[in-house]
Amino acid sequence: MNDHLNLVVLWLYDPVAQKLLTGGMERWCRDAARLACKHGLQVRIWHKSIEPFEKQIEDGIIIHGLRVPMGFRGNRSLAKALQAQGLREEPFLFVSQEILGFGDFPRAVAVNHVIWWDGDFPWWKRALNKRLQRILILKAKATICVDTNYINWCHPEFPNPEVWEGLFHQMLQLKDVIHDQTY
Amino acid sequence: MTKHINIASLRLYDYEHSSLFTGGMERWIRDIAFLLRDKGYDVTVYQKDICNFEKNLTDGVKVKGIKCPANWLGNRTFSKWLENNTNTRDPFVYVSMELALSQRIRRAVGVQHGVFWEGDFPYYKKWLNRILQKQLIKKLNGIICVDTIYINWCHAEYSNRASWEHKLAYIPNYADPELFCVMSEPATIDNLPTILFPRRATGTRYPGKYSMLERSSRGAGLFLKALEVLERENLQVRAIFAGRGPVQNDIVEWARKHVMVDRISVTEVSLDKMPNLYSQANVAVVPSLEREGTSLSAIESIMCGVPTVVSHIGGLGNIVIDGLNGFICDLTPESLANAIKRALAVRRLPTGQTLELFRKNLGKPRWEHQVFSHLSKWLHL
Repeated sequence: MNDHLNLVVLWLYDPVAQKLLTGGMERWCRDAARLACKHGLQVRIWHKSIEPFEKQIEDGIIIHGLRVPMGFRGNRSLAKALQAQGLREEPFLFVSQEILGFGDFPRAVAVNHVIWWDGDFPWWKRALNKRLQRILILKAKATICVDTNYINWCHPEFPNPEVWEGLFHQMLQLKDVIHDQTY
Repeated sequence: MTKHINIASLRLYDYEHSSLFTGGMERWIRDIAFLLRDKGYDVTVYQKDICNFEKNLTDGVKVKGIKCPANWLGNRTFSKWLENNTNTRDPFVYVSMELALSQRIRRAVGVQHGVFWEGDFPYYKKWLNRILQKQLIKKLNGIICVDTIYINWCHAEYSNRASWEHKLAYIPNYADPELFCVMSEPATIDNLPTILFPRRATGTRYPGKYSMLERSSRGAGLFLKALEVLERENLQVRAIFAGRGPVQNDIVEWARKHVMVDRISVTEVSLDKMPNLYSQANVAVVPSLEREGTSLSAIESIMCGVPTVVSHIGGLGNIVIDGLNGFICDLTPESLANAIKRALAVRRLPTGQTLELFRKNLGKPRWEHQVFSHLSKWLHL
């Protein structure tokens, strides 16, 4: 059994103000980390930062800020920086799903929090995003969806549902993520 | 003077014109026609057909079949016929929204029953459909959506949302609380619980390398695989498939192959007999794989207090909150089997005040009030 679970999120901790950021995704990330701790795991949370830092926020939970650009391009840099950590065999939970698209993480589960793109996005951004979403679904061993909208957006947009529809989970338990069960 | 209103639909009567097709959309048409008749309107339902016909459904509700090709091109023919043969100033309700192609009929409302296009559609069809949907939103005065999936799909796909978002109204489907009463827990036969699959045994449009049963849009194949999982876990159940469809024989064949003939039955009952079936069920399952709105079967089952397991597809997530009034599964046999086990563990769900609230808020009176007030607003009735 692995001792560690790696959580990857866009941002969670403000090293200047020395406090956790507020927001739904941030709370989800914090609570997932606490749950993993309760299951006896050491949790590392990785996110983007202007300056690199390392901070233990609770017993068993350490946040690592990696210096990468804060914009969209930083997603790729963060994925590459994570790969450079040599954690390939460890389980990853991508709380920010979009980062998974830029790296190779064979034991990764992703979380979709919402459809964040809307019709007013420029068409080329939507086209690129559609391609990215398809990659994300296929790269993750499973995707936890906090609502049914993302799942139901994928069904009319992507072919071959028999290949990927079983990878969507509304009901996945964290212990299943850790032990590679269910999915 | 009697006011007149037109309803346009793909189908209502079957091709012998002797009985109505059974299905959610057909029931919706029948009930909206009766509602408008009761409000004092003279109602004509136009449907695409293989020949012209005219028939009275009941006093004040006339059904006219218009001969036109059954395919998409037939929608244009049908629309032209309406332009040339009806008073285009009358209000129109397009229960099949894709028929709203006329430029001259402006006092019109559409009804969206669920996203029916899947990712497996050919690219050009998806592209054409996208253009069509955008035009329909622009043209129609308003659209009644039976689930939130279409609304959310539009928000993700179409620009200038401020100009059209007010035209989409979410009005979930309904069931008649007088017909679908609260059921007490049924007696088990041979100590085996009964699981009801109250859907049509449909296939799918694009099965690919899979069989029609495996990809059955209503999830018959997924349910059978879940039964296999339960068998492996030494949990034996009875299963009743209640609904007509092309994979009925495949289900019987599957049962024979898996030595479950004595525990799996395939039947067909009329709408007014459905409450009897719910009264025999310990659990009902609606594990759709595609093209799902707010399933009438799921609503009926919930209103009867039968623990209901649904998939996360379409509007099913709109009407079930996991653990409160039913159970939600993902599209894997293990997940469905797990949800069935959770459902079997409770005797009845929802219960008490929750049940009463759901019966009130998913009941037909609520639907009638919401639909008529939106039609009045959009069609200036």
